[in-house]
Amino acid sequence: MNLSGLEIFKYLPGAKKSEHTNCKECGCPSCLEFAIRLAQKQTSYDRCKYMPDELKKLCINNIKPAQKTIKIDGLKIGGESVLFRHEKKFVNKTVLAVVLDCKSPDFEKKLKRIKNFTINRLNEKLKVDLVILKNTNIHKPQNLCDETVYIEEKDFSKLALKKIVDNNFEKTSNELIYIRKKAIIERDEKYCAPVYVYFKSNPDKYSLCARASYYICKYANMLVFEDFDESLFSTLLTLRQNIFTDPQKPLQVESKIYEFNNPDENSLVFMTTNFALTFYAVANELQNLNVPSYLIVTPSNGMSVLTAFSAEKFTAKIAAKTINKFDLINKVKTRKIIIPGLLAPMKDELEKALPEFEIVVGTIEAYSIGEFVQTLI
Amino acid sequence: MNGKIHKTLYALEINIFNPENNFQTAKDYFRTNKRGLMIKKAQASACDILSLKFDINDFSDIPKAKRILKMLLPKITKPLMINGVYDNNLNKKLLPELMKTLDRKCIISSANENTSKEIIPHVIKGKHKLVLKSPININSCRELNILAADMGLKKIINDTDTGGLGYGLDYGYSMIEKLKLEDDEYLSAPIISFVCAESLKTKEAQCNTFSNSWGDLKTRARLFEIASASAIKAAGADIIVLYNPENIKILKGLAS
Repeated sequence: MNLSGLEIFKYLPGAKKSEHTNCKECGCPSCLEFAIRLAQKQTSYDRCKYMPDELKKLCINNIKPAQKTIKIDGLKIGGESVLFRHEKKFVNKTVLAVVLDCKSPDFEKKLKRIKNFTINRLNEKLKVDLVILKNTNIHKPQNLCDETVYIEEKDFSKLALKKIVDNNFEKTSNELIYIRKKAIIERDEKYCAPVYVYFKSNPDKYSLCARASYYICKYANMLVFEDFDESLFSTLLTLRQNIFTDPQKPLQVESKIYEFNNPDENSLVFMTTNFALTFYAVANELQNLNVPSYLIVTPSNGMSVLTAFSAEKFTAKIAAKTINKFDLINKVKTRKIIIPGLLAPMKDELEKALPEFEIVVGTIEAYSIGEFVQTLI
Repeated sequence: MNGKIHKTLYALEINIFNPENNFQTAKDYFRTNKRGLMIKKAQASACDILSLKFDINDFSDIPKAKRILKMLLPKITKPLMINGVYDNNLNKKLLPELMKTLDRKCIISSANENTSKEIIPHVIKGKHKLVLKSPININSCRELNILAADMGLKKIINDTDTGGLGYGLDYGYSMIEKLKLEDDEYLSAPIISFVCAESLKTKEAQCNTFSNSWGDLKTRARLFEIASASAIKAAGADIIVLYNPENIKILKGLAS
């Protein structure tokens, strides 16, 4: 458990008003300051000579990493330090691995599918992270250099990883939760190895998906599949992207005017917030339209349209300020701005704030933009 | 410490007013737009709760919505949930009218800060449970719960909203985890999640224009629903609303 500054302070001379209160020997002006710096790991516990043994023990325990990190080439497994992503964030994405048996008659075909598998989401290129090669003495696959990491089974089995073979959902999930709590809360060294769940071949990919999705959230560091399936992997990678975002840093893009398909002064003008998911959903549509367009992105702290609206991070004032800042009025002859359908209640307010422009209420979902644009032309 | 994974209830939602508006994955399962037949199939499914969605377009649709509900009630033995529309003004009229038609205690979905005053008195009168919908924010959720409690409402279910898979599911996910860690009487109501509706609305679950690496659309839509439901179960949701009964079977199969 990480101690807060105040929890540390309780033990120090300053809190007890005993001898050596605020002695400054540690280099900090006060015991409270020392406690806060120690909590933020900006100083070391041994700088205080008057620390009671009880606190010293807690501190020593605390500097031990909660979970070990295992590296395979550039791939990192484990190294997590919290139970809930909102406490800090999850560090190393759940590795998705496939076992490839080189003895199997269809191994070339399976390898080709794995190599061909690539998805691009939110500017991230996603591949199968790791392939574990079995029976390479019989066949040794060639040309294995791409973003995927390959390892022979005999080397993989030497890594200090904890394996759970998934036979029963309740048993697996309870074990995963138990191990993670032991590692994080108690810093119990017996449980500090990263954990992987091994899925034996299973024709029911829906059941695999339900299990794997749960284990990505709680608390597998790696999932190893005997089967490879494109739709399953793309779904799991999408979920992983969600769970491993940094909750303190909303995914956001720069607030500015983006251009699609070489727009000119008569092109369509859209407006949305700077939440990355909103932006990419809209940008993807505008890119694929046959018509040129502009997209004005407001500075909305990386919030989605509805959240920004509720939190007053998308207001008529903010919209007007953004449009004036980028001098839209002199940039285009178009006098129409298309806003997200969810912001329909703001139409009048926006028109008041932007008297030169007509506000057109667009679609609620980005994927309907194409159809919507047809109705405008 | 080795606590059991908490039990989740699965609701099957059917867009009953306008069956044509159901998600494709549900249409592929039901293969009919006849309301009676859909109810029969839903009754035979593994769902714990049956949810009927009335997505009316304007006030003039309310009498028809009432007629549909009245006709279907005798065919339904599963615990029932009634879900209204996104539009506040319509919901304020629609939900009370539907409650007048009900012959049993139900879950009513939903009221928010703008509609609670109109909807809550009818919920209390009918002894129903009410879903309180707040935007992804712990304080808004708490305020709405206090308001509802002050009006005398006891049976509350919270919907703290979420983005779909790949589109902000993490916000809803962490919101539920945070709520479950709170020790606050105004945040202790069970949590319902409509994450699957959000996930099935995504382009990935609706469009055929993705590369081969995404697999085929039908499979992907089912996997999107399952992955979202399973993740939200991990976060701690008590009721999860799904649209494909086959997927409910898969999720319930986890427990055995």
